[in-house]
Amino acid sequence: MSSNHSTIQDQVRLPLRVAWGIVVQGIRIRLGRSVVTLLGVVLGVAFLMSILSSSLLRSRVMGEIQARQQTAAMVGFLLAESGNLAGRTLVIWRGAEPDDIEKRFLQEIFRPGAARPLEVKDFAPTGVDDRPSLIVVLGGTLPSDVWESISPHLRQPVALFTRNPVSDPSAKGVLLRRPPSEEDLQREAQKAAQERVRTTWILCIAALVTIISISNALLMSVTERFREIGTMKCLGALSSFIRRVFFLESALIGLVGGVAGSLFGLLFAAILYALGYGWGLVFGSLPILPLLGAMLICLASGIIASILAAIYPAGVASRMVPATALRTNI
Amino acid sequence: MPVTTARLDALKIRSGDDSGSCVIRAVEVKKIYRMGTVETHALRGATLEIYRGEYLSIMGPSGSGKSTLFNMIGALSKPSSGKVYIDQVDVAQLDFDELAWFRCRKIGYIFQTYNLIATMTCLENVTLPMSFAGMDAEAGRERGVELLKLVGLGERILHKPSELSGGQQQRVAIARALANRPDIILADEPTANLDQRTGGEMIELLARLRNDLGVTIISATHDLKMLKRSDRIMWINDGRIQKVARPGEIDFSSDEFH
Repeated sequence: MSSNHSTIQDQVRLPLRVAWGIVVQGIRIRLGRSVVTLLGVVLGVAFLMSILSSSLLRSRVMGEIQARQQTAAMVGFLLAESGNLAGRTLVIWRGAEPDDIEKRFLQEIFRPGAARPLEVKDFAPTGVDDRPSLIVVLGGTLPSDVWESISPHLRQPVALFTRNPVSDPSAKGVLLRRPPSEEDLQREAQKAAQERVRTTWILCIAALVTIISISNALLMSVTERFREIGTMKCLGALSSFIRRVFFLESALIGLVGGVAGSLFGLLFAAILYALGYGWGLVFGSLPILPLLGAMLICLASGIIASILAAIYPAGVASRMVPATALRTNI
Repeated sequence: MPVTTARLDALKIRSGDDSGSCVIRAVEVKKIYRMGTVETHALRGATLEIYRGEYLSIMGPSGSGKSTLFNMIGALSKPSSGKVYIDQVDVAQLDFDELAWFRCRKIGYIFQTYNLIATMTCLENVTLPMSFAGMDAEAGRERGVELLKLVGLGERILHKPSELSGGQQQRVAIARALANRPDIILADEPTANLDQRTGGEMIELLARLRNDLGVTIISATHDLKMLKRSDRIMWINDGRIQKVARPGEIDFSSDEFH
């Protein structure tokens, strides 16, 4: 008989399929308890995901609000400096590739009816029939020879800079955008660090609670199945096989709970922010890639937490003596 | 260390006289359970021989050490002292994984409560020990169907245990016990949860299997029908073997049996 020549190694390899079958059928049959276990994972992962995604959403929403405020401030400054822009020519000097705020600023002043700005890179006075009101320097600095050639043709010899302060002393320049002060940045960073410590602490406790609750549910499953485990041991199952059944079951619960939990957590955080800041603002600027990254983190933590939680119950199950199958009471 | 038949052969005792006829030999087996400071002597030195192909019944009141002896000769636990040889292999020398390997191939178990895996079909229950033994799934299925036919459940192979009667479940359990062609079938009160008629059918089935397959059947039982059908009856009391007798030598009408 060929099975007589097999070794323990054969016994370890082959029943993975069997273990998987036992796990899937076990979960299906004991659906009620599996759902309770699953809920523990879903809640834990949803909590983690809501914290991760709300910090992503917050920075995105705050960034958006800040950008809008800055753009509005720049446009306001320009209007205050030059009066109504309608029908007037502006010279836009692109000193560098415009950043996000500068693009928004351009969009604002190019809005129909707002102005008729003339965008030039290499200013040639002969080509301009109208006397431009102002020169706006987007990024970078303005070379002094360019300034010298343009300024006589300007109605007001003033250059508006969006990024760098005026470098040319002869140019009468105004900075449109005020960069955040060192102090502000420091305060922000400090606040963020404090927030991080607090969140990490809460997350650790949540992870612990989740792991303990999964562990407890699995332990119940072990005691519920003492006869099944003992029987399998009588039939020749190795301890490692029994362990594998519980690890597989737990990992599967972790996977399903991780997917469901991260979706719920994201939805929860997004709806909460949308209620606070408006649906368009939140859903219009969803940071898709970072959110996908956060979901992967949540999925992995769900599975890892489940596997950690299974260590003790799987050990209890694998140490169960086969003779428990013979016990008739209990 | 991986178990191979070679390793088991190396562990076998070399004694000429009983090498063929004796499938289980226990010598002065003692088992002591310790619960804190309290010691329980479950077995106080049991010596016995069980012959290949015999139908042996073990009787004894609860607490007599019957279950402990049962665990010893079923390779489920090791003695505190003394020797247990199953198919000439000294069980005490096997580690846990080797014991599992050994049980898987040498011994089939039948339980009072059937102990089928509720989540599996009859066929899956029967093929489970085969997959533990590393048998190919296709070959296992074939053998499983064959075994279920042998116990008279050919048409119910895909039913779940809960859809079967007690007698049918016990038949599945018997088919499962035969999965890896064991030398020994160990039955713990196999008829206790069955009615008279079904119990009788089970006894006949076991007797038939013993005759056809030459498997040794050892059962713990109080079932009169089963005792009468067995080759020998062994009484255990207070951790010792009290007496061994053939059914013909016993007066079954005495109070002991009622």
